[in-house]
Amino acid sequence: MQLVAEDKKCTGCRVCLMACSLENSGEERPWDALIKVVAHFPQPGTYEVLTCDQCGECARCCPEGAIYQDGGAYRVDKVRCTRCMVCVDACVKGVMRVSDGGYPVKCNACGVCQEFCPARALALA
Amino acid sequence: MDMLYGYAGRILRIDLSRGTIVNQELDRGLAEKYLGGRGFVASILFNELLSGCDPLGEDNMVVIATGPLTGHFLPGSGKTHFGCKSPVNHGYADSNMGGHFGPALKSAGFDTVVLTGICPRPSVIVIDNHDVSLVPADEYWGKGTLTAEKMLKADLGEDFEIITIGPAGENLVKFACISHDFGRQGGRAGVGTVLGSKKVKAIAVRGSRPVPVYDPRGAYEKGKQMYRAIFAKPGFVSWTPYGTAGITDWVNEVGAFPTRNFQTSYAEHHAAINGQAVRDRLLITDKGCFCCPIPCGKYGHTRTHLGDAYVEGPEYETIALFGGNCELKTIEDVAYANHLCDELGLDTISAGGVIGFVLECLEKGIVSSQQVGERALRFGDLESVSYLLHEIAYRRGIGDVLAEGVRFAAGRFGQGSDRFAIQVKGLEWSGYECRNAPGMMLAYMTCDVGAHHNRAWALGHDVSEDGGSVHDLLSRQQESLGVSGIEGKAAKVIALQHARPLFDALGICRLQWVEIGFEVQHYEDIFRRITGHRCTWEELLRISERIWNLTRCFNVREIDGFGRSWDYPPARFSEEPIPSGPNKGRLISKAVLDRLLDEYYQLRGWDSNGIPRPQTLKDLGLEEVLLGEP
Repeated sequence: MQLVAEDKKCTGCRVCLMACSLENSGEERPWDALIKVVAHFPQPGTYEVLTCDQCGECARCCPEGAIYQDGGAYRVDKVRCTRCMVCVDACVKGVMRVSDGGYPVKCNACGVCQEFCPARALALA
Repeated sequence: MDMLYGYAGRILRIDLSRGTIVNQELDRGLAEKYLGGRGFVASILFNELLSGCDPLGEDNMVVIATGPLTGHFLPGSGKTHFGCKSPVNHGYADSNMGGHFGPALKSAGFDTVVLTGICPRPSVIVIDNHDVSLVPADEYWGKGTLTAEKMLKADLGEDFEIITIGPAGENLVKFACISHDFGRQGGRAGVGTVLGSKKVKAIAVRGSRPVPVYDPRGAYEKGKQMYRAIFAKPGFVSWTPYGTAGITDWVNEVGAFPTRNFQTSYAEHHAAINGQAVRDRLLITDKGCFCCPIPCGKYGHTRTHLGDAYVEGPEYETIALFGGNCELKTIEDVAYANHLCDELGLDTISAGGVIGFVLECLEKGIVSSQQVGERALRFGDLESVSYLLHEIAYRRGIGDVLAEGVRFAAGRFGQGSDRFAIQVKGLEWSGYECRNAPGMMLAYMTCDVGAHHNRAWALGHDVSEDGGSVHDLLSRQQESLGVSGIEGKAAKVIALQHARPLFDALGICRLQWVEIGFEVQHYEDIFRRITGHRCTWEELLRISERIWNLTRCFNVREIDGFGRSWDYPPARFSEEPIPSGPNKGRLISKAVLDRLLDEYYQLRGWDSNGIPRPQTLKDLGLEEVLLGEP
């Protein structure tokens, strides 16, 4: 499963960022969401949505093998993770982040963002 | 002290003259009595402003306030409220906008910002979480709002949310706006003028602190339920593609479209400037405010003989005031005028009102062509509009008079031009012609800031006994405007004047309710889960009524001779029958206006001069007002 964005449909409302942070951290922290919405204004007047497509680059570069595939998504094994953050730096889309506990966090394809995107700009494929 | 849930919990106070910055705890009593947003603005202005102060002097305040629901996970939680003593009439002024600034301000840790004094030199206020600084604005001063916002994002970081003023605000044009997010504005009542008088070019804010929520899990689940309920509304599909521009045809069909400086109420060319035209001819993307499921923002590109422009909008009000009132014939021309207003920092409603007024003065020979540089200015001409917008923003030539607004300009031009200076309390009339809409007329007459529609859009009740959401109205077989007469209109207007501004106090957008009929009961539940306070909608409305009376009292205190005489529309509406269109021949006589006002004052508990009675204020808990009584 990968999260796919259709940039042209995005309205920049950031509901996805709120839903993502609430679902994954329990708090309203849109700045810490695992999606990024980049606004290009005043010209050309478009939004660009960066999402995790489960490309696996984070798993490939992890020196500890702490990122594993499960149910169509890559996940972080906190027991094996040494918090080196190589994966965060390597993320092709720049959508991994560091949690308050110092562990890398990544999209687990939960799909809440796409459920509440009013513009249907996001989809799990 | 118990945590104040829903709020960031701090007020930022900046004395711009001295450069002192105070980070103060939010008073629980203020939150409980006035909620936030418009309530905070009204209370702080009433209780802290030096009575009688010069609106453009050091003692005026700019209050920027969010509400308890701003920035949370619920539909339309992106609102920010601005207020000050009005530079136009010295009374109460406020305006609100959507976008992302308010949520960012709360994430930075502040519910409200209070500005006093005047910067020694043009400045930008930078709020980076709790780090607050004033930095020189030399390179931004003089720039348009869109240009300045782009520069500031490049200099500070894309993750800053920014409000700016344009040249109009710098030059103290009385209808200068505050701009944000390349197309959202706090447009009305001169809030940008007062920010300009304080030499604040911009405020940039970035925040990364979650705001405490009383019941996080419950609020999240309720928020999800609210989104699902909106997605299921028929209006979600039918209204959203066009936004507010979608009512343009309907307003013409019911004969309420301001045309040629409100000479008539129907524009033959309305199909060329409607919501479909915006979508077909301009649109690049729908553009939503924070957490909004029904984006009314329509961002587009236009190409005219004067140039290309990228612009958010035009939304309905801009279409009405430039497409109708100035008779621009194409959506491209309206969009270009919209773009000029945005960049110059002018409120499109007042600007379209002022330009329509001077064009009629020219037609009638009240203003001569020598006064406009021997130019042949006329309705329907984009070059005329562009010329006048620039003259106004830079206060050149006749623009220096027009920059003061239509009421002042009519005083200068004389010759009976006050009859068609379309305003109340000095504020130019927004986009609904009311000579056959007594409810809407009364709403304009009694709005606290002047002739603005947003406090009570009563037009639906003038068209239909049932009223209802905009989606409902547009879906129905049309009845004729004024079908329901004047009976019960005062009560309808009062009910709307409590309901609509309540959203402004909660810090959220009303359009989910107004446009697609989203049920207000949802807000009782989410309010409880976010703040921990159990309040019924009726109880919240009572707070809104308190705020309404407080702003009236502010006007009584600050405006010399304030009272009933300030609540009348221009003579055109009671003496000149509409000359064409669906409502040809209609007007509302002075006697009917008086009847409407009498009933309105009586229901409000105000005396026959429109002054709130002491018992009314006491019943509303407005002790601070009574304490000021001799």
